[in-house]
Amino acid sequence: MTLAFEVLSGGTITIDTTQCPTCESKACAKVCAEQSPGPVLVIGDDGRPRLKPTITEVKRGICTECLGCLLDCEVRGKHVVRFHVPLPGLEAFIASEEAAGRTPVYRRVQ
Amino acid sequence: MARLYEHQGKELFRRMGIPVPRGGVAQSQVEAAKIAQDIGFPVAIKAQVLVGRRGKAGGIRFAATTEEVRMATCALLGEAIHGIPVEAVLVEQRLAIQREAYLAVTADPSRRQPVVLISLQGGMEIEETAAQDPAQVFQAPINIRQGLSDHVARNIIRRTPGATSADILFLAPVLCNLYRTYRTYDCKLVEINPLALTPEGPVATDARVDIDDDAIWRHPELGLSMTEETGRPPTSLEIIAGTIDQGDHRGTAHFVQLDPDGSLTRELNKIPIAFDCVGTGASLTTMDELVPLGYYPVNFADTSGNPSASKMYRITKVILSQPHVQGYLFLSCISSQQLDNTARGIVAALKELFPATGGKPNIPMLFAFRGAFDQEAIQVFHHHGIAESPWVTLLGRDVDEREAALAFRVLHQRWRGETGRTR
Repeated sequence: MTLAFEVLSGGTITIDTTQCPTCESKACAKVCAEQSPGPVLVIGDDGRPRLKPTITEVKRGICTECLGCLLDCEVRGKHVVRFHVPLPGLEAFIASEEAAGRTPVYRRVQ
Repeated sequence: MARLYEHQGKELFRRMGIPVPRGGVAQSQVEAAKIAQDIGFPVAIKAQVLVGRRGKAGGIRFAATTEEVRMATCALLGEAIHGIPVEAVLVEQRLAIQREAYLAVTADPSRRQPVVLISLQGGMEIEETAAQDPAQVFQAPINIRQGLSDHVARNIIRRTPGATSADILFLAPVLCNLYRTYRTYDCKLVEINPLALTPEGPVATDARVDIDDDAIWRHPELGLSMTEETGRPPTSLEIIAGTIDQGDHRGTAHFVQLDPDGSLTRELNKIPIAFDCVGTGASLTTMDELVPLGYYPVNFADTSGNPSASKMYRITKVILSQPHVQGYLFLSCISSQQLDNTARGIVAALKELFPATGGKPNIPMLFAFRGAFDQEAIQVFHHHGIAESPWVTLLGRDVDEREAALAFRVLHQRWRGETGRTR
């Protein structure tokens, strides 16, 4: 089961809610409740997160894209929130730089 | 603002009914010769670079034969004008100019309205004219609600020193169309310098068009990238960074590469580092502190105005994609920006870029959070284990720019000493 919604930046937040009923922290909803203008994610009767505003309101910017759900779910939840936002051209740039022997620091052996 | 090349500006002028010389853009001798043959000789060959005083720097040549066109094009395409390499030339008719005038429309912040600038005492030397005899450059504010009608334009020209009846008749339509260009394309400046007065009527022999950055998204037909104005073509990373603000006006993510290939840093014998600040003032002050310590920020970045965490996530990925950096310094001015959101964006980027270590970087990174929610911002780094990295230093509101730069040096020297790395 998946909850997916678009946000103002053009990105998409995707939550695989399969494991959410067994999540004790409900970290995604807790961090979201602390954000202005109020919660976008709330926990439904089935123990899974759902959108409180409409999907249109979310896309128009009521979700401030604080990334709290992404980060807190990773640490305290089930690590099931994904955020994809386009950054056109970056992968191609990195590939061309690497081909020229200019590797970004984060792609070097650590 | 986005400054258009001369040929782009002239295309807008042509669309808006302002006469421009016939011509075309060439990137090779062959293309230039073909254009010249099509429009007829003599021609002017003009370097397309975004710098002023191009003519005095040798960026404009004239040719009367195909061979001369080839030679002039070859010379210009291999040149740099005020340090900017010439990648294209505009080949256009050489006109029989009787007199030159200057016309411009720009925004006057003190009046909060557009203002027309006009001089009939030559165009090319307008700066000298304005300095020596300011009265020769006539200024007229325009009521933005009423616009610029033909009779108002005529009245402005009539009041311009040296104007003749013919000037009033021929220049009024050009002025009206220039104002229409200014409004239609959300410009900050439209300028014709010089406007050539020829036997056939006025012709714009140059075009300066600066479009308001915040309005670029309204003009997709212009095909402009939302990059900062640097006086040179944008780099690939600047173009990528320019997409971040597109359609998302929550805060800003300004990014300019100061040394894209690292050559300047090597020449100066400095250590290249990536850089981001909240606030341009803090950015400049911190740069001033870093350079004497032996570091050179290879980019300028300003992420202020309370950008979303997702915007911080993206710009951090861009900043850290610069090769050859040996460290990263982030510092906020004492701002009202919600810094915990800023921190979440940075942490999300670090976790993605350094997945094997859970976001702990392999180069020294210093983060100075000063302002609203700064303690919470630091907590985000602790919460995700990145604060425990040996190569991360977190500072709060009790440090100034100099102290942050000095702390970065301590961290960098320790990193160098313990890892033996120089890159």
